[in-house]
Amino acid sequence: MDPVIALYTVLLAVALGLSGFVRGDARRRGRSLLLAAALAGFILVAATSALVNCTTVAGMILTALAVLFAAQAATTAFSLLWREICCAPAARIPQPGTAPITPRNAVSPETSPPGHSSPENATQPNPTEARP
Amino acid sequence: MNVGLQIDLVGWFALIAILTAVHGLSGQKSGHAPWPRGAVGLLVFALILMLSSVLWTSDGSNTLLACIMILLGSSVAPFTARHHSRNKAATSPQGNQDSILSGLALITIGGGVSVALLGLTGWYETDHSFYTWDLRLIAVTSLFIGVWTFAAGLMLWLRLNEYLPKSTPTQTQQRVVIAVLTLALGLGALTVVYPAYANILMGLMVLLALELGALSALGIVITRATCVLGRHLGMIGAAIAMLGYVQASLFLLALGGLIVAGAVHYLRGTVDFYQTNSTD
Repeated sequence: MDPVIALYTVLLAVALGLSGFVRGDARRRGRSLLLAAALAGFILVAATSALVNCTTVAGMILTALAVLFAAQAATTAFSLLWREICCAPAARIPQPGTAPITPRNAVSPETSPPGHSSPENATQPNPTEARP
Repeated sequence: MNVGLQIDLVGWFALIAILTAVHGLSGQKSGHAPWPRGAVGLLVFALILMLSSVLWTSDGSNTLLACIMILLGSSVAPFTARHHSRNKAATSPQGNQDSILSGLALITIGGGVSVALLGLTGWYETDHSFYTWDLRLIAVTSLFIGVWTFAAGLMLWLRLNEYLPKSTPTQTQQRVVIAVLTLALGLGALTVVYPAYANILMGLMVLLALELGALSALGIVITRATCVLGRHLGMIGAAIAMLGYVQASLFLLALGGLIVAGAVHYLRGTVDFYQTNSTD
């Protein structure tokens, strides 16, 4: 493959990904990390392609193990992403009179004390904002 | 490993499906994804489509082995994706977050081993003439990335499950990480330039990569685990792009770029998961 074409393709994909993945608040970024992991599961395609085109016995054993681990990684990533998707609506049903979730309201264990890291706290209505 | 992936016609459709799915999962700024479940289904469809395409266009000699390995790997996944926490209460959000990060660490372990094995295969299936230096470079880089990712994921998994004692990063550790990284990169470059001495040079590089993974996962506070995971997911993306170059597949090149872009955002900052609110 022509290296210039390869470089252009990678640069365009990186630019596209930067513009797409950058959206979302702090809580959505957890989902995006799982999405990146699920996309990394496509290493399974490359590993399978290497296996079916392999000619030597040693190469066949190595690539078969690579397919095994890639399949495990891909399925785990899709399981975690699916669980995250399934859990999302229950945590973000908006109550009447509450403010929508913003990055300012979303907290993480890294930046908040342990007692305040519960996701429920991020969805609690702010009394000052709820009042008219 | 110079196989020539003849799947780019199907790959374009899969890439369109993946981009649509990414849009469906992170499309709106107001905090509500349009159709997340359909997007995940589209991603799974794209993966199955690509796998079917690869298996369909092969000569059929290793197809059965590939199918068995895929099924075996998929059957292990429920054990690695389950929620578990060793010492913390499983219902606490912190324990659940550690459980998700532990699952992500297992993903990086699997991805790292896979990339390392593919790099090793690429090295032994490439002739050592002067004109194949790019394939040798990609094989050595894949091996280095794979071993580093595997070691970092393993150490992170051990730390998240509290098999290792808590450690506090020091300035000396950071300097040692930089020194080991420089040494490993130098050894990798020497391996590409002097393939006659490849065995000993690659052995040393793999040892250094293992040490680098251990140092880079142990020399951080555990709250920065997402940064390490994001970095290594990005490295797996870079490895996918390099494999795309070797296999002449624009699909893998574009996908690798997308993963690198997605992982860039986790080098700094924090993440949070909705799953931390749920229990098994």
